[in-house]
Amino acid sequence: MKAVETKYIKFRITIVGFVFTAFLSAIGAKAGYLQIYQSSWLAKKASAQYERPFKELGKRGTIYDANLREMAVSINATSIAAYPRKIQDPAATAKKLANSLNMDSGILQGRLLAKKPFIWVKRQATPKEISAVKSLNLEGVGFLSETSRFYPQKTLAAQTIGFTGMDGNGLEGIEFYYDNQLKGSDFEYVVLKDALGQGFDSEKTTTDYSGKNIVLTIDQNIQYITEKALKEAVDENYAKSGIAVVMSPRTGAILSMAQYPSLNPNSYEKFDRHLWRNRVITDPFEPGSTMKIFTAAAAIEHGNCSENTIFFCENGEYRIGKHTIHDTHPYGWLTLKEVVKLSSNIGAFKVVNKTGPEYLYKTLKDFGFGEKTGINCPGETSGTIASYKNWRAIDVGAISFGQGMSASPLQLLSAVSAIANDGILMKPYIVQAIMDQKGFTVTRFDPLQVRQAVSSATAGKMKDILMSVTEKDGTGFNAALEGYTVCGKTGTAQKTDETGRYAKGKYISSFVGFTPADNPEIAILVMVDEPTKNHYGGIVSAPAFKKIAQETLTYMNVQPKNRDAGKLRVSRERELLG
Amino acid sequence: MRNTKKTPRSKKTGLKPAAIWSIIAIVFIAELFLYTWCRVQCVKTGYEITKETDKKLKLISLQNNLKVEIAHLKSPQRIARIATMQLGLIIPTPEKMIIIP
Repeated sequence: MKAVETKYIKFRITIVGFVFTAFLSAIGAKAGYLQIYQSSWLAKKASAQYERPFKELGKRGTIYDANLREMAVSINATSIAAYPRKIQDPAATAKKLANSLNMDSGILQGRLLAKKPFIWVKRQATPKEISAVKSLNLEGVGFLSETSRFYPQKTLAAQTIGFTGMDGNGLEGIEFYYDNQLKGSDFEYVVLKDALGQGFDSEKTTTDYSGKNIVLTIDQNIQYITEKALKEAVDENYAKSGIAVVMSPRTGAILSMAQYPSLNPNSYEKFDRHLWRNRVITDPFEPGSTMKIFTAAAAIEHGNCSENTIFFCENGEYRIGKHTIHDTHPYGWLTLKEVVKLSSNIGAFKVVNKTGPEYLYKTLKDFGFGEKTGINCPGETSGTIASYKNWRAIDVGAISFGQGMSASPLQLLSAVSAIANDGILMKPYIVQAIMDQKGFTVTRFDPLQVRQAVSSATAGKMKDILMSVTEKDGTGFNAALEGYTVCGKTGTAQKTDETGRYAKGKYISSFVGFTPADNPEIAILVMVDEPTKNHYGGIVSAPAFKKIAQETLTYMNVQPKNRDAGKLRVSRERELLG
Repeated sequence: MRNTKKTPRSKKTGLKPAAIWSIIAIVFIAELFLYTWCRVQCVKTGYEITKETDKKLKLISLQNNLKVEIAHLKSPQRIARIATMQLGLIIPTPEKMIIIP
């Protein structure tokens, strides 16, 4: 036995050794192959078991007013989603969901039966709806966290700020114009999960992927004052709509931009589409008699006229070819100042005849008519003004008192602001800064001079003329303020109908001006569309101008001038004693 | 005499490796426990971090909601309504204004 064992022992050892070596070599080769050639695939497979990737979109930036008060913010919202392949009984699930969410169960069932891996049941549901659906404990129904846009001031400056769609894309106004800056960036992060699928650590970095914040030049309080006065003017005159804008003439900063009827951007889809756009910027109007400001400015600047140059106003009726132009009251000889003060159409025509259409055209272009102001808002119109070479005699007359051409309310206000600003036309702007999430300014928009529209001397003379409009016998007396001097001009423009002819009884009543005259702080435009009670700008729009100006100057702490110190002291003592 | 001297020597030489191996084993076991404890602590801390992060996110969300609530409460429409309807205040006319120098 021993001899046999000894005989084969070496052979057997060799065989076993060989087998072991072969197996170990195979294992080693396989291990080497897996480690060298399959490592990334294996690592991915392993990580899939304990890592869970998430993709998120950074929060949309906030829109602030000039005092850093929120006008548009992003808030967290929960949306309800469904995974149809995981739902056993779509009919029952649809019925339960429809009851909780007040939806049509038939439509919902149809969507659940679709062979899609994922569907939205309700985006940005209310907390009540969320808890109702959670209590149902339905299989295949999930809740996803999203951000939703919210406008805490509701209707305030609604068309100016605009709104976003369901996916957070800006659709109108500032939201649309600055969509790229406001939008947050996409980012991915990984959450490690345990055996139970619970997340216990994440590789989410502290980097802020939120969008940038926008700071407007609009002041919430001035915006409110403007909207309130505009609403009253529209309601009192049974008008169709209205527009009002307040601007700082020295800088071109828009302090408020209102239109009525307004809309609530939190539920913009419930409002008619024509209310969505910012008509202050997008819609051209015939400005009417407010254009006499620029007719007079052209006459002083280029026509060798002074405010005392006299014109014969034909006693209220003047024939130009086939057409006849009228004044509301018959006037004989009027000075240039009186032509503006009493708003004589015939006088304005005579003024242009003396100045020359070429110079009127040049002056209008210098004031920015016929070109976009370049404001940082979408959809701006440039208005229309034909070249003076194409003007017929009647066109000269019509343009001198604001017909046969068009301008946006913003263009008109910018041009009047240039008179207030010693003849310097400023570029209007509504966004003063873009900030990052930490509050550091990324971009700042400073006031920008466009050009010297008329000389400072002409602007000074125009101020005197415009101040006379708000005197007791002027057309704009209703805009006169207690304690402040007001320069302004009324406008009553007839509207055209679908055929392009002037419609009977349809007017745009306006008043544009600035105050205080010596050191203008604000320029205001009020336009009321189709007032039915009265249609004169001095009766319809001037009182709204007055309200806006009075309250805004008080809010801005602009000291009234025509009050002596003695009365002030008595008033103060009385207040203290009382 | 030689035998009596040899016996304690062999006892000493027999105990020494055992003690060394025991110490090594204890060190290894201790290291094992320490490693396990570290891993457990690591996971536990991970859970705590996740919990605190969630709490932070909830507080940020609450803060944002409160900011929105403040913005709504401070809205000029609301303040004007309270001032006029509840408190009976009016917009002051210029002669009632006192400008503090």
